[in-house]
Amino acid sequence: MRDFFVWMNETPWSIALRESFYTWPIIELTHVATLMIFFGTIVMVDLRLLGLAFKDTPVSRIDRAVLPWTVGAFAVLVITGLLLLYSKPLVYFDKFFFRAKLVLIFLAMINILVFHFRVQKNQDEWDTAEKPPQSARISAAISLSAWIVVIVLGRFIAYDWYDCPKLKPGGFMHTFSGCPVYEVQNTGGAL
Amino acid sequence: MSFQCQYGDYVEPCSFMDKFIYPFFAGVDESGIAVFIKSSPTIIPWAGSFHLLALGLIGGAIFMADARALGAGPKSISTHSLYSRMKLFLLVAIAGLVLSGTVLALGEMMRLYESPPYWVKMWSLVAILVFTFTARRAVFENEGKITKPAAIIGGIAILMWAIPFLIMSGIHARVAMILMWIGLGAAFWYSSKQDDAEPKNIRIAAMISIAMWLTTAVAGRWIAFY
Repeated sequence: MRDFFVWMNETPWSIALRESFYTWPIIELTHVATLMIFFGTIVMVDLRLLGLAFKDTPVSRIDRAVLPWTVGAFAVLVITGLLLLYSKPLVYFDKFFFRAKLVLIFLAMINILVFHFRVQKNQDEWDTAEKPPQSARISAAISLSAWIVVIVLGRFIAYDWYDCPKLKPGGFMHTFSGCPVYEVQNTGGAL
Repeated sequence: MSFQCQYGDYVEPCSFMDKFIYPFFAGVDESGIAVFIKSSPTIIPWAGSFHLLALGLIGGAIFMADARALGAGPKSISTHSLYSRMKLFLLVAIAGLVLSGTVLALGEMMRLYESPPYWVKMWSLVAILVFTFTARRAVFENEGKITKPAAIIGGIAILMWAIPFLIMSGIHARVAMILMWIGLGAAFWYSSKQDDAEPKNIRIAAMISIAMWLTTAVAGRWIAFY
C-alpha cells in the first residue's frame, strides 16, 4: 500500500496540485465550505429524529427536503477529499488522525445502512411521532456523534501529535497508523 | 508630534492602523491569556474544531431559512416558520463562532494583524451581524416589509461588507465573488418562478445573507493560506 502512495506522490498531477498557488487552497476551501451544508443539514435531520426539533413535521418530509442536499454535499466532500489526498498522499498515509477519521466515516456509513434497512422499515408507524422510537433516536445520536468526531479528527490532521516519529514502535497507534518499521541490523558492536 | 514608523527603508509618519490598532494587537498578544493560549499545544486545535462545528451549525440555520426563501429546503414548512425555528440555532452558532474565533485570534494576534483576509473576514462578520439583526430580521418577520431605519442600516452593512472586500481582495477573489453572485442570481430568478415564491425583499435578504456568510467563511479559511 505504501508503495502505491509513494508512486501516487510522484505522479506529475500530484506534484502540480500540491505545488499550486491557488488550486490546492481552493480545493481545501471548497471542502470546508461544503462542510457547512453537509454538517448543517445532518444536524437538522438528526435533531428531528431525536425528537428535539421540527417535532410537528413528519420525518419523511424533512428527509425528502434536506437529504438530497446532504448527499450532494457529501459527494463534493468525497471528491475534494480525494483530491487533497491525491495531492499529498505521503502526508496523509501514516497520519493517525487521518486513519481514525476514515474509520469514523466508515462507522457512520454503517449506521446509515442500519438506519435505512432496519430502523426505517416501519417508518410509517412513527413518521409523525414527536418523539421517534428508541432505535431511531439511537441511530441519530450515533450519526451526530460520529460526524462531530469526524470533523474534529479532520481538523487534528494538521497537527503532529501522533506522527510516526512520536509513536512507540510496535504499539497500537504505531501499527494502526501504518508507520514504517525499520529493521536494525545487529552489528555486534562493531561499526 | 507625529509617530514615525519604518516602512522598508523609509521612516514615515505611521498609518492609522499602525498608530492606533497595532499597539492594541501588540498589547493583547503579550497579555497573560494570549501567552497561556500560545503556550498550550491543545487549546488552538480544539478551538479550531469548535469553530468548524459552529460554522456547520450556521450552514444548517442558513440553509433551512435563507435557502428555503430561495426555493430550496423543506417546502412543507413556511419560510417564516423556519426563520423563527432557526433563530436559536443561529444565535448558538454565532456565540460558538465568536468564542472559538476569539481564542483562535488570541493565539496569533500579530500574524492576523498583517493578514488582509483576516480584516476582510472581520469586516464581513461585523457587517453580517448588523445585516442579520436589522434588515434581514425586519423582512423575514414582516412578510417582506421593511422599515426605513432597517433599510438604511442594512444598506450600511452591505457597504461595510463590500468596500473592504473590493479594496483588499485580489483578482481571483473578485472572480469568485462574481461567480457566487451569478449562482445566487440564478437561484433568485428560479425562486421567482415558483408558485409559492416569497416576497422579493425576503429573497433579496436571503441572497445577501448567504453571500455574506459564504464570504466570511471563505475569507476566514484563506487566513491560513495567506
